[in-house]
Amino acid sequence: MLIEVAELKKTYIHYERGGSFFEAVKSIFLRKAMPIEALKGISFTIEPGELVGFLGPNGAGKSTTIKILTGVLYPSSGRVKVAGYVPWRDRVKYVAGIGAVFGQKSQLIWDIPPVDAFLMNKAIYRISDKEYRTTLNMLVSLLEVERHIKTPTRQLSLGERMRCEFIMAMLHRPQIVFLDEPTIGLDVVAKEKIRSFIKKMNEQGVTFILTTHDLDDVERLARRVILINRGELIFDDTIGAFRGYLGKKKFVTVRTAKPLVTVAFSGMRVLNPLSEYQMEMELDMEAVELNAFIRYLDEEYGIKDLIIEEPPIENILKSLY
Amino acid sequence: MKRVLDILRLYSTGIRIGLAENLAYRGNFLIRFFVMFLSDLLFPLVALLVYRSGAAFPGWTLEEVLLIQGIFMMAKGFAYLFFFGLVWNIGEMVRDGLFDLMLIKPCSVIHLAAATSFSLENSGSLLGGSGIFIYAVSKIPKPGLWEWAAFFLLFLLSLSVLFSFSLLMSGTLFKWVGNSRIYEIFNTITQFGLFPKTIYSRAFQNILTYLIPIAMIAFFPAAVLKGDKPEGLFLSAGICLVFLFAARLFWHAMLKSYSSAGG
Repeated sequence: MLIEVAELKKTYIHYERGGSFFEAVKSIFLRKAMPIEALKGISFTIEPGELVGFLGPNGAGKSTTIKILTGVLYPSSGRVKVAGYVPWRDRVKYVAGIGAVFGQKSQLIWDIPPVDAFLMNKAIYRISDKEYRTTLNMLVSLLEVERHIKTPTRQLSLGERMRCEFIMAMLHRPQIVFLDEPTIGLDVVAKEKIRSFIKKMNEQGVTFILTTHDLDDVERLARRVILINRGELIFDDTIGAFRGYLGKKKFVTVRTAKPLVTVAFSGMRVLNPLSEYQMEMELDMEAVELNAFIRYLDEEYGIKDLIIEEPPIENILKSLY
Repeated sequence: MKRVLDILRLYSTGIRIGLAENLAYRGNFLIRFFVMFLSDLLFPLVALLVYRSGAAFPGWTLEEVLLIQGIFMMAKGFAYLFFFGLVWNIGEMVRDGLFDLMLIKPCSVIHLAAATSFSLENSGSLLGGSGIFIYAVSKIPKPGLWEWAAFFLLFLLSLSVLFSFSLLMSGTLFKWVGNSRIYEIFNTITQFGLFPKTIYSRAFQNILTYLIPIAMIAFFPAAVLKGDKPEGLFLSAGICLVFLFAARLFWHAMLKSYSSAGG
């Protein structure tokens, strides 16, 4: 077992303050402390080589969990062991074996080229010249940033910068990498490059814990999903089980020759009438025979186009949140 | 030994990167360099005006006062150049939530924050102070080998006092996020070290010597260089080490209260 989390709790103390002038003056002398339970005793384990999607709405406790796992925060109670270390207690030894990419927190240095900033990590992680050159060449070639690493960071596009962030995080060849919104704000091409890199590194045995709101990232990368909400773990299983969470459902988009105003079928639910002739529906496959449903649509309304898909992951999340 | 080499490697890389950053904006670099250089000349000018008007600090010639002020500027210049930046580095990073990035590096956060804050612009104080120091030393009776040795030892303690201040100040920033006035508080407190401590009341001298060892920043190193054996020197040297130890304990205790930024 690589990561073991048991009954992890974290309570923050926030101070309440009103918006009026009187409240502002009062808060100088007297502040009301408000305990906020960010984590209410979550437990899970992660095996080496896994690629886990760590999901939850804003304020669910995802970042707090990741910060505790990376040794940044002390928990209020509970047990955590990562690669044999207690992250906050053995911080210096432990973090030598982990990497992190925070989509909204850059490790690069704004005014100088990434290749100069990489030198800082070379010194921090005590990487030998030979190992540094080999790893850098491998990462640069995988991420296709040969030209960009010598350009000042401020002149790089977000996608180029993000790829360089990955180099910064992986120069010391970490075995566990925490990714927090690694594709935020990126275009489709840049996202694809990052995802393909993560997949390749995962195939080489690197364990990834991916926190994201981009469900495409989860669908394309994660083999397991952990979902937390309001500080509690509400789902922990494979991506397949996650998809089947709402039961056997199919998502249908149909365009017909006749108006769909009177459409009705047992086990079918209209989700979104796009126009008089086009509609999105949800089928409960335990109640509907697909052949019969298609025949009904064709005979009654004349099918012009039909798409049958798995339910979008957003629907599952909405039902869980 | 390996640990010392690692720290030196960290600082040398930090200095290289800091230089590259400074040279990215040469105009800004030159202006800030000269502002630092000129603003630090204010106190030596005040001393000059005092002595030109016929007044004096009792027991101290103008050159001896300039010696204190030169040492004070050199110590602060060295601190600003090599480690004091950790205060605003940590202050900014804690406020913006970027301090997390420091904590996921396998090295001392204090050294990393100091090494990554190197800024050559701050060398103005060190150069100005060195100039005044060389001038003042040339005007006082020539110090012997023993005086020079004692001076260098006390200068290290002077730097340790400033390092302790940087730990105390940056430590408070984990709890009182965004406290931009902390630098002014430090400046006000340490300015008492710009003048001979003998001009203050007895009680205040004791505070500057045994409680917050500000007298060690410049007064004691200057006194031994001019051949004096100032009262309370050894005890004050011990207090400096206790001050450093306490500052480190305080910094680590405050780090535990770091709560990061949301999201």
